[in-house]
Amino acid sequence: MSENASQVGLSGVAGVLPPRHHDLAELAAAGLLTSPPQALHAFGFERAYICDERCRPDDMAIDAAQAALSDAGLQPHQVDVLVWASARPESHIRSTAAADRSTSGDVMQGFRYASAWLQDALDLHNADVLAVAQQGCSTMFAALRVARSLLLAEPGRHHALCVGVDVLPAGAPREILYNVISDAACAVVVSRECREEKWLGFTQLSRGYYCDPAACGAEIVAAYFPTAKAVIQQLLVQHGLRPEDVDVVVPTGVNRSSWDILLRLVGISADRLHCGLPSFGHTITADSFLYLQDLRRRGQVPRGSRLLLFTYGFGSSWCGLLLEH
Amino acid sequence: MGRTILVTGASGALGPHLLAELLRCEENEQIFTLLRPGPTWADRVQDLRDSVDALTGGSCSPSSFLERLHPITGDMTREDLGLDGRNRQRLSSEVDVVIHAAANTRFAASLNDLRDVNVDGTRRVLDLARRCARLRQFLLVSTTCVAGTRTGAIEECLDATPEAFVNRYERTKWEAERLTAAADLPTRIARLSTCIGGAQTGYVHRFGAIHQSIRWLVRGLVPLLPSADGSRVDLIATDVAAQWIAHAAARPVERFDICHVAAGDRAIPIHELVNAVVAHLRDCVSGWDSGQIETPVIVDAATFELFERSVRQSGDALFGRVLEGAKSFFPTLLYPKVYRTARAELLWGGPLPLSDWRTTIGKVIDFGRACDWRRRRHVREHAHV
Repeated sequence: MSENASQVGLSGVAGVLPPRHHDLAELAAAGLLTSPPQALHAFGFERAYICDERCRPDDMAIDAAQAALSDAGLQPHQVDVLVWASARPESHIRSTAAADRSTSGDVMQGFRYASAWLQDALDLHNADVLAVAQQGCSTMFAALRVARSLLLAEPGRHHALCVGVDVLPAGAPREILYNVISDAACAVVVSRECREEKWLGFTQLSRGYYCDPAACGAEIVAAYFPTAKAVIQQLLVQHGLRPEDVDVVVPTGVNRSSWDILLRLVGISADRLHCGLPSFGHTITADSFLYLQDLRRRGQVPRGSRLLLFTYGFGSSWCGLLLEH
Repeated sequence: MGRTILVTGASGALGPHLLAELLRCEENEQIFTLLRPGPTWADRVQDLRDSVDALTGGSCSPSSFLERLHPITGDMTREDLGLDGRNRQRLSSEVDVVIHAAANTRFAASLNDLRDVNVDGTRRVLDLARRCARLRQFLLVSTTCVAGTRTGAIEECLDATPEAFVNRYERTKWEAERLTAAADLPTRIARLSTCIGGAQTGYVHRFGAIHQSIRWLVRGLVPLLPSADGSRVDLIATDVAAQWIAHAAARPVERFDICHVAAGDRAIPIHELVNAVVAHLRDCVSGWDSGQIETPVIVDAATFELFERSVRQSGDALFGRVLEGAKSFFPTLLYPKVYRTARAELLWGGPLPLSDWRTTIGKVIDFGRACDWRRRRHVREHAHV
């Protein structure tokens, strides 16, 4: 395999938020927050984007996938692999009126896979279809890892499209562990012989001890920083890098103050944190890729810069991804 | 010549260990202890006796206890310590050593409540001591924490007021020292560092701030620990502290003496302590044993402040409790200091007999887990080696 052939990168990145958003006061008035709005505001949250009848999850998934393909300069038939990567279990099965009416005994409704629907909707007729699940907010990270490994293992394949969409049920609380949650979709094209966002490394620490977020929320909050530090340090050490070698940290939309703390823990200067987008909250799977899309569009980061992406997903997994811009 | 000793704070963290040590010495012919009055008085007397008996390994027969240990009702917060006329007269005429160990150690208590016991209570005990015609020594059990935010070498002497105290408890103990130093009595102040528990047993009579922090750590609820470079944690086994005080009570005191009953330059670097605790947990606690729970990160003051602010802003009740409990202990790590122990060693006759701290810490954790970090009435199986 040539050096170029072994180079895998992210050739297309896209994130999509619903057009309609609600500020913290509105969310609080609707009883969708557990913390006081001022506390959430102090954590950097301002609003939540929420799907409604004018913007359905299906629409967002298609919009994100098409935008990522466009960003990568690809046509649907060029996609070799489609990886569906939504965090919520409900996001893997398409909801229809028929399914909603079905009884629990109607097992056939459970096979209405979102991945198959998307392949059909986008006419990805050359793509093999699979899905990644049970990774919480790190689901898209896991999808990218799977896609890259698949491209490297099967030389005949060149492009994998990873798509995820996560939408909370109507009327569901919009706060999880002090994070304001938005609906969103994202899509990333992973390509062989790609020099954009070249894949440098990935580290994941999975801790099944924290498998029940409802029962051990406090333990998860406490484990967040030490384990995040461990995963980032491992990632840097494995690739012979020092904290100062990271040029840009691509954040997630979680509690802003947690990034200030985490960067101090790993010794990366706070000015390396990519900022600039108005607060959109935490979108479960799409955060990092909304920010990465913004970074690529701005075009202000020099080529060759090292990007660090980090996320935590219920389950629990802490993931770090290193890219070369 | 035999001694008659009055001990306050007998039911506190140090008390039973101290009584056990005093009772081991037959020259301590009579020991009076003050216990707060109340409907549970008889139970508390029995509890104290059980604890002391367990700590002495049953070496003091019940009859010996009855003859030499005299619990009497008294209250630090009442004038004349709430003593009745008969007991006041008896103490005044018989006591020749006062060991004042009673203190309010609830760091989160109000300054008024802390002063009521720690300062005004000390004043009341000093008043009683002045009336003791045979008094040879007034020994105040204090804390090395009176050094507050001072850093570097801390000498065994009365220092100027520190720039700041980490908590109100420290301030009131410092005030109690000043009050004691000004009294015209033969006075010795024993500043104890953090008493962690029984050296070989891990037995803790009353859990304190450090134990609460260990408890949260065991549960994996302590993500960050604040510390300055070079910070050490000065811990001593509670029975070692008790041995020193019992020894000091039998030694003449000149006008005034201050000693640090502390590990001193043998204090434990914070990194070593955390690693040792984690190593112990990895041997016996679910989650730690499989490496699923990460070691807490030691961070600088600014990082910890960010974390604290984040917890405050969230209003998280559990982490609020974790931090509240830690607030009295963690910040001391930000002011690295080494307590001089020369005077304590001179009085002891050599280096203090510190225990192997790794063993003691492990035993304390095991003891805390066994009783779910609550006060335990039946102590015999844990207190006795």
